[in-house]
Amino acid sequence: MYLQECYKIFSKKSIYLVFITIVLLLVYINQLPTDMTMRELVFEELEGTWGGPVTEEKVELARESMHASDTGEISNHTFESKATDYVQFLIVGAAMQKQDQNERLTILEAEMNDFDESTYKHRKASMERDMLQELDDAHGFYLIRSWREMFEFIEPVTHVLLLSILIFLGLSPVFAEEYTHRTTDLILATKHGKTKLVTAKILAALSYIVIIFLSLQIINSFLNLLKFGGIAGWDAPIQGISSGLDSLSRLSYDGSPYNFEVWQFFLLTMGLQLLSCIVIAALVLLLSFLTKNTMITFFISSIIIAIPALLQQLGITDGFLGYLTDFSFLKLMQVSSLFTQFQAYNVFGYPVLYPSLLFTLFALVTGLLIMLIYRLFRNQQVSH
Amino acid sequence: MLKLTIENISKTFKDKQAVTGFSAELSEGVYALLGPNGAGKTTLMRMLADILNPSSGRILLDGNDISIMGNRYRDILGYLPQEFGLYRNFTAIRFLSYFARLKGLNKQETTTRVDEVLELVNLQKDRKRKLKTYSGGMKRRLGIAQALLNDPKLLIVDEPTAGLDPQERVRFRNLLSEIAGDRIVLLSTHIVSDIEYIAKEVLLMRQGTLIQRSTSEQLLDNVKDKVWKCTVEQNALSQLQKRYKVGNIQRAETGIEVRIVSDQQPLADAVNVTPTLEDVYLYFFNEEVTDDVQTGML
Ligand SMILES: Nc1ncnc2c1ncn2[C@@H]1O[C@H](COP(=O)(O)OP(=O)(O)O)[C@@H](O)[C@H]1O
Ligand SMILES: [Mg+2]
Repeated sequence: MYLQECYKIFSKKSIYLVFITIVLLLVYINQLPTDMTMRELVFEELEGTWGGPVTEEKVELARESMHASDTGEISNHTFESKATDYVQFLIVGAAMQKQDQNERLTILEAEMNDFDESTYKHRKASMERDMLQELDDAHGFYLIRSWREMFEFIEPVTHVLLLSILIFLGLSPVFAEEYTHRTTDLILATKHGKTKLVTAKILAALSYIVIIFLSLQIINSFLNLLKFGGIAGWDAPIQGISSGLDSLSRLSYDGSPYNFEVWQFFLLTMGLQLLSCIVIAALVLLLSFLTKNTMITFFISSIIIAIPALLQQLGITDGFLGYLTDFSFLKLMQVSSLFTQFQAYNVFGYPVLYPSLLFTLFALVTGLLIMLIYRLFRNQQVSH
Repeated sequence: MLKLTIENISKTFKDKQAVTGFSAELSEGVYALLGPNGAGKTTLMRMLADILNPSSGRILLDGNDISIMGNRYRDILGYLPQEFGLYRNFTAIRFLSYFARLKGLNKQETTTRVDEVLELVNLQKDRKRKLKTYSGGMKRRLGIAQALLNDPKLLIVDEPTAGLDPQERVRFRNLLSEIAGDRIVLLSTHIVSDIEYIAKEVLLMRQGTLIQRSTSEQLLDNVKDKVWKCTVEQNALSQLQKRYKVGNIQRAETGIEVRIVSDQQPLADAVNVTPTLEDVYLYFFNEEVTDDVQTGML
């Protein structure tokens, strides 16, 4: 039963068409030139000199040398000198981040003194302080090669778009098509047609999600490894990933309070992205069952995903609608963006980190959606 | 012995009463549900197949309410809907295997049983073809095969012979008598010849109600001494059709030979003839047949 349900999903030509289009898009974006890829050997030398956490001397040296090149004392026409400039630029940036962090720590200490220990403000400040203290010497220059492009496909919004299309396309028909194919009467009269079938369908949907997600990730990672030349930097702190001069990678973790090494963060985002896809899948499945129509399911799912983006475009980010945006399917899917800054919410007087709260809430939502699917499916009657 | 009790069930769609206070008790054997289009046969059968809930009344299998039995009831049920679709990209084997699993057969049973039912409906040689290439008759045969997968103790088939050519129809009749054995078979039809040989009893249905239940021999008693045959001129025919239920019309050398079902002798030269089930159908459903051509289209 499960295998046939998989067959129903995977025998749609449209998903292959879209999948190939997405892969071609990834390939196309991937071959676009980027200013600095850190691919070249010279960066390994530079890492020898400048690598690791920032120190006073490194910053001083960088400042001097940047000054020198600005005034034209050193020629900056060779690639090597450009690369050196870039690294020095990153060093200075990291030093600024470190200074910001120290200033932030001072502010937080002040806040903790100003507010009583039992207040939310105190707790929140203390939470952030602890995280920043744990970071310690994270800021600096690290040779990080392919990773910065591997946390999402192209960039966060495109990432959501591509994954959503594949999910909607594959899963909208799961329940709806039984109605359009007029096979419901046959199915509902069978022993497991109102019970086990729903499990088979959900498992098949899950398999579809896992397969497309993993294959896209593997392709994306592979392309980036090719382009940026290796996995160097896997054990660097994520604060080493800053946008730098690079216009393509919009996300920058140099101000992130999260204490992860790159490989940990990669695994975490992959896991959470997969979960977020599963959440969306549950939504699509329920809609597919309720609307009994593939097109309508596709349409409504798209709207639900797109609404927060629309609200943001319209500048509605405050009050209830603001919360709705923060806790939307859209934000959930932009996993990599959740970790760039400190953000916590007040839950019964205690601060809870935004990503944790978001995923806890949506775990509940998913449970609810799936329960609803089961319940409705079990009691279903055809009405026409 | 298996016993299916239909207890005063009714089904109302928004504004339309499709089945009204239908009661019957069925034990093992083949039953034919006979009635014109729109009589409520399909609606009744969908309720028996646990697809629709009755608006009122109950259905019991050996005294147990089927809505409570749930999948234990559906476990012994085989159902062929009047209208159904297939997965166009599936082959017959894949389709039947899928349904075998839905019906709770294990892997091994599935393989052997799929083979058996394919043989039964004579689709062995087309078993690897995609269903989108199947003709109407083949689809219906596949539907029948699907219904038989779990060797159902209760087999409900809705207009099983619609769309079959005469040869396939004969094959289906034989198949049904072959498998009848110790189960309840309920088939609906508006084709009289379907039931003549196989049905133990006939349930006549009109406008959602059961109007008569009897063996096919007893049915003939309804029109005993009421079937006439006579020869008339061409121009008298339409006049005759307005006043009487006119069945078979045949051109003869001397004019037109007509078969009329009527309580009284319609014409002086009309002679009584041996009634058939067609005459019974004409007797009960003449008006509806014409009326419901329209409702059936809706
Ligand atoms: N889902 C439905 N909604 C509204 N009316 C229906 C529905 N199903 C059947 N009917 C109506 O109920 C009546 C009985 O239909 P049906 O059970 O299909 O009769 P039969 O099978 O004897 O031709 C018809 O008038 C039909 O239009
Ligand atoms: Mg019908």
